[in-house]
Amino acid sequence: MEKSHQEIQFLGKKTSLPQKNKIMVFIFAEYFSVKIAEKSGVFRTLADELQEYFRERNYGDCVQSLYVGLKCVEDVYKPFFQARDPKYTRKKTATQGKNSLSYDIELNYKKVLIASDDEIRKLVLTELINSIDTLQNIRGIKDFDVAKLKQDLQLFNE
Amino acid sequence: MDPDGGYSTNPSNSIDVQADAQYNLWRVETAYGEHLEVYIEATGGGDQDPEVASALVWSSIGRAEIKSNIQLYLNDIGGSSDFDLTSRNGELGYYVDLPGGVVSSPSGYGYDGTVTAQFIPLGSSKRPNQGASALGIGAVLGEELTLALSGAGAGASISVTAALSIFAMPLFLSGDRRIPDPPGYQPASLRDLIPEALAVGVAVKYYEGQQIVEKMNREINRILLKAAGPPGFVYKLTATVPGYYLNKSTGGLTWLNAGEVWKYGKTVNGLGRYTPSEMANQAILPVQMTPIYFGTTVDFLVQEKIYIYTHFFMHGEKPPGNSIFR
Repeated sequence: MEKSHQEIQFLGKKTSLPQKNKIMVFIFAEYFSVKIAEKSGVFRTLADELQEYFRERNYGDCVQSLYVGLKCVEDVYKPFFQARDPKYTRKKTATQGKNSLSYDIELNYKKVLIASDDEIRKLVLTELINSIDTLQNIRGIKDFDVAKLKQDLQLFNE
Repeated sequence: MDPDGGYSTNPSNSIDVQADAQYNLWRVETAYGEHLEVYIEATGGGDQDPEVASALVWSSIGRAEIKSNIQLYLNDIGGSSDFDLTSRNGELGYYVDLPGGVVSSPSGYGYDGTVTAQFIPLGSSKRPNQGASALGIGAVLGEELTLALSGAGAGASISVTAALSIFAMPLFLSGDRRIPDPPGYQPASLRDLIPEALAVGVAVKYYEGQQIVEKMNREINRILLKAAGPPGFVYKLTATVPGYYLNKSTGGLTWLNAGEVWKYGKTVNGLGRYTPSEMANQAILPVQMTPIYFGTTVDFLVQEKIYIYTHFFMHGEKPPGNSIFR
């Protein structure tokens, strides 16, 4: 039987990584009690709109993905859902993914429970805008335009 | 048991029992943070002594908020004249009608319609016959249990159409520690009997189900031997969008619609269990975390087992995010 063989061809030295798309990935992580989970639709819609809105925006290479944990749980579970400090993860190579920042915002359970979809949307955006200031001066982040992010969110909310 | 020999609710609980005379609707709700349990005792009888069933309601150590309705179908498995829900030796003979399909009773009886029985209201001095058969039911954590009784008031012949969510299992496992023995009948161990009963009822859907039920019971019994432990909760991770999610059992992908369970788990860490990034990426598509049961370590370990096994019995496979039965 004829022995198969491989040919390896040198294509030239790769001098730089491919140009990355400079887009902002915006994702909600939902931690909801059962009754709030029943209202998931409004959160999904808002998340989709925000994702689309941020698709063409960039606030610096330091933060390419922004994960926002939305917490809305009953009192009995609140001790388990205490606020966490924002967490920044820097990827050393492109294959490891994107530089990401994750943090949490807490929604008032009782308010959300009785709120309409429009009110929930407004509530989330308000909390989101108010929370942006907490992203200032996070260790390891040098190039992240927090002011512009906040401004864009305010524009989105109008 | 009250002084005149009838049934009564546990005086130490805060159960709110409402009976709607117009619709004969018994609505039983506990205050937030409590379990609710209903015990139905039924006796067989003839023309002179018609079937009698009674309902006992009391709360115990639960921590549930009562939320949505569950229903229980109490079916006559032995024909209209033999009201035999559960034999005294623990042989289980009743139906559980579950979402996703009718399940046969393990004793092999067919569906014969609803039971005609007498119900003795709470507090009544009338006692059911000795030698009663028994069926325990309970509302699941976070559920409201509604018993719909058709017919007139005390002592009248009524047709019982009830329904029991399979998730009533967890209640009895964790909630029957203070259940008093009903007069005239002392089941050897409701705590053991009821979960097995429901599990068996469901498991007959599958040829190999019995072995799985035995496995589940072995695992649960091991957990029950442990100390109560620190509080924590059982959670579910559900699909946020329709799409293919990672199946940890096969390594492949499984289609889930939005809201379908990807994984059941337990934690004492809460928010620390999954970072937002993990929530977005671990299942390939984003999942949502919903706490569904709060309890001590033993409680939530047992509940987690039951949720996973229940999913298995109902779907024929574990949730895609559970590679093993925990």
